[in-house]
Amino acid sequence: KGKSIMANLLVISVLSLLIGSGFCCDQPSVDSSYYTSTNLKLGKNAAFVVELTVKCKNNVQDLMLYADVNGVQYPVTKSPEGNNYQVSWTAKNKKSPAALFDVKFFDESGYNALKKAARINQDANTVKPLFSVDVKHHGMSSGFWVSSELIALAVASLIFYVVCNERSAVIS
Amino acid sequence: MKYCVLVLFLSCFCVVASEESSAKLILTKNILNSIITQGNDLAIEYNMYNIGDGVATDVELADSTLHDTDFELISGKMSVKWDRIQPGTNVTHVVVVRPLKSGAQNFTSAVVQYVASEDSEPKFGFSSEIGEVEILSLKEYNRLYAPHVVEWGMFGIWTIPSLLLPYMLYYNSKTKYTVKSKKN
Repeated sequence: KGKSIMANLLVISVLSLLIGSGFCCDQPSVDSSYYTSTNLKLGKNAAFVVELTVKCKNNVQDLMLYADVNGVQYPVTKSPEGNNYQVSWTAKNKKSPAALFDVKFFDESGYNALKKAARINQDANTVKPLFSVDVKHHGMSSGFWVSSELIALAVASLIFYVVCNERSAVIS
Repeated sequence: MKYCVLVLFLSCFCVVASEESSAKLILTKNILNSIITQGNDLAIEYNMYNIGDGVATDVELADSTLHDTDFELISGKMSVKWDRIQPGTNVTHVVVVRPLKSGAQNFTSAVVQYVASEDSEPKFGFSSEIGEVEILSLKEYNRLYAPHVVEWGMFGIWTIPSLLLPYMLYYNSKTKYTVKSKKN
């Protein structure tokens, strides 16, 4: 019991040192916006872009972040000025149906923990992200699901059928 | 003599040690769309590959070829940086713009600046060029890909007289005949 208390104390002291020295982000507040490709007529390839500004309570700037999207990690890019970050990924040559992406953001220590968990085959959900952003992808569509030409064809066929019926009734 | 051997050995060691691993970045720029039109989104993807054996640090990507007058920025940043790119890995960056003008447009290279090895000067690199691409005008795009609901509606309206007239004649004669048969 004494050992576990010592271990906890050690972790807390290290964390507080890190936060104090400016490596860890304390209580991040995130402002995010995202873009997903929705027009199938322009092409099958889908692009996903998430832009965010992160403000840490302890004013840590220039964070090194990694984003995890469905188990794949992407490094997060920074703007040369300010706390603006962006992560983007693409889905090429495959369908991108409507989905809700839970994009988890990890700092350096979180990313290392994630890689370690993958190495020792531990569940990745045990590693807590710094924060996460929900990206709602509406799916790619090419307008209304039925084309206007099909509707015109259906109406014309209906009229033709009705007329044929009447004609055969008259002839008989 | 012994000292000579020692100095020779040390110098060899130094030579071996000074062969530092160095990063080499290759940047490709390509368009994700199949069709590029004025007034519709255009997604451009930048892929950076580190084919060297060292870590590339302070990597900055800047694309100043998409001017405000010709393109409206929808999403993504034109100037970004990565702290580190490990050897043998690649990173992706996407920018979404909307062309404001139609016609031929020349897409030229983006620039990357990075530090290949410790304490070395920043290196520059250019991305691959996309070249000249035809941007369809909004009118042309609608002519090819719009649902044409209005056009079909107009077509329906114009065909009504040619359908209605014979039908009225048929209907009149039909009522006459049925009245006759009832009389019989």
